[in-house]
Amino acid sequence: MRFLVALCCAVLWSTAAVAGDVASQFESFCVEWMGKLAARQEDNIAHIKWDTKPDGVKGEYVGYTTEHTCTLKNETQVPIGKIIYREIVFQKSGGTIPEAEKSPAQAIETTEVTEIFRYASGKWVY
Amino acid sequence: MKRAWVVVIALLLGSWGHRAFASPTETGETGLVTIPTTDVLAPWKPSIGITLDGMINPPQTPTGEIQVNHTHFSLGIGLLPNLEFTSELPYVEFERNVPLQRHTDDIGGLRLGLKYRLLNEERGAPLGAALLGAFVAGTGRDDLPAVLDRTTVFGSREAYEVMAIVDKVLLKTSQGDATFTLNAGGLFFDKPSGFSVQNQSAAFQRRFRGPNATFDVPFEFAAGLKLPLFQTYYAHGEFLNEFRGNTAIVQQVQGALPTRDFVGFRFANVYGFAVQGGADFGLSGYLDPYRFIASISYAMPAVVPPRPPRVVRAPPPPPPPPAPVKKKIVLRGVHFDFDKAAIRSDSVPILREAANALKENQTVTVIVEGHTDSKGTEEYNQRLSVRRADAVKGYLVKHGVAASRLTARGKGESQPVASNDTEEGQAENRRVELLVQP
Repeated sequence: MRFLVALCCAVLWSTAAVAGDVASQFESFCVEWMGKLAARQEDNIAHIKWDTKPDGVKGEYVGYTTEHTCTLKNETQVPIGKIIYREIVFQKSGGTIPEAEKSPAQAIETTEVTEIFRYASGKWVY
Repeated sequence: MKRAWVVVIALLLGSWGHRAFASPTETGETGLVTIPTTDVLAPWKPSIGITLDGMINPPQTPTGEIQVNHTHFSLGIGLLPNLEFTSELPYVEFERNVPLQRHTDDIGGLRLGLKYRLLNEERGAPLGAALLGAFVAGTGRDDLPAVLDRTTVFGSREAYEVMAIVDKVLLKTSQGDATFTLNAGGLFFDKPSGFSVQNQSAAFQRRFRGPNATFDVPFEFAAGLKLPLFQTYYAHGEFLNEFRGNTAIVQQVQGALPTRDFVGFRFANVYGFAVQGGADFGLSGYLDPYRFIASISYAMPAVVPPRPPRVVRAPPPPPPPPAPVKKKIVLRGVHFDFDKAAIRSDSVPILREAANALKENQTVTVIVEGHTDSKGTEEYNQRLSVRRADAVKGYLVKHGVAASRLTARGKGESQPVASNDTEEGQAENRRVELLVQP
């Protein structure tokens, strides 16, 4: 009897531990993913394709908000994580490319993005 | 504009030059304070003022006179548009050294007048013009001058004064107007009864240089210049120069006009209070070469101008309204068997989540868009992305999302979100996006 109680406790304990591990992993993954987006934005800015016309230069790039929400859905067999943020298409313009690079970026299109991930083999898969 | 400044400089230099070369003639007083302008009080708006002037460093004279101090009380009220009642009470104190004692004599006067504005420059006339008519009375004694506002006469007497006033704005500036004013007129009165110079003391005769002085019909004149110094909503300041004189007494005695020049400042606020002060120089024909003048007055303004709005930098134009926010669901970790479009079982939870989300929003339609990394040829990846998009669509339809709401298309490797140079970047590029159409 004692053995059964100890076994149940162990199972519950390990289940809770795994659940806690998934949650903390998702938290870290979430930060890591937003970091990827920030790096992606920097890369996009560095590689703007400028459209040169007689009246000036114009270029667009995709950026991402740093504000985001991370939601974990852990009640199913396979944990599901959602990261929600906004993807913004920015535009820069000016008389010349250096001018356009220095000009403030104007947001021209905003998209709310929900990325859905699954947890498998001890890690978040994408 | 240049001409205006030439006039100003000429007046200033002229008055100072005259002062430099004139010799004092010790003849009389002129109790002028500020020359009248064509300004008229608005109907039933009052004004009140008091002006003090006295000698600076008074000379010792043969008469023993050491101080002459003037005080003018003034009261006015607007009667009709362009018509103003004016009144003044000049009061003069003579302080003299007589043998063994200091003696003070006081004399006064009264001036009641009407001023009518004929032309108003502010309303488009070429210049401002007004007429001033007044009854004046002096309570002087036979041995003392009676000061009738602008002119010194003797004895107790009554007179009538007529004066024409003209003014002209020379220059308009942001700080106010530069204005030139001209007065010309005269006093008409009888000879004083019982008064003659011959009957006066030797000291008096010395003061007025002989028994041949007569005191008839003095002609008076004045020219004023007002230059703006500053102007705010609450207050404005002006520089004043007033040159004036009359033909009373002295012209017939000395052959020289008694003239004076006032140089001073005036500060007034929007509510009608004003202070004025300066120095009054006797240029010719005067015993006292320097006097100070200070006055304080209140004239109820016709209208207190509304406070101008604060100058603030115009606010930047409002940003354009943000474009409607689109929505997109990106399915990560949806794996397919190699070179196949069949969804692997481990990816089902992701698709189930997507299906649930779409079933909660029944009104939206969705484009299912497949993306690949750049491994393989472009054509291959294009076909692969289409097949995978179709597979996802098939799953969603099978799990309750209406097929009419879904459109599948493949983008191949054409829209990477990350670099395809690394494994990690390639993984980021492999995805299925559900583009929600409003």
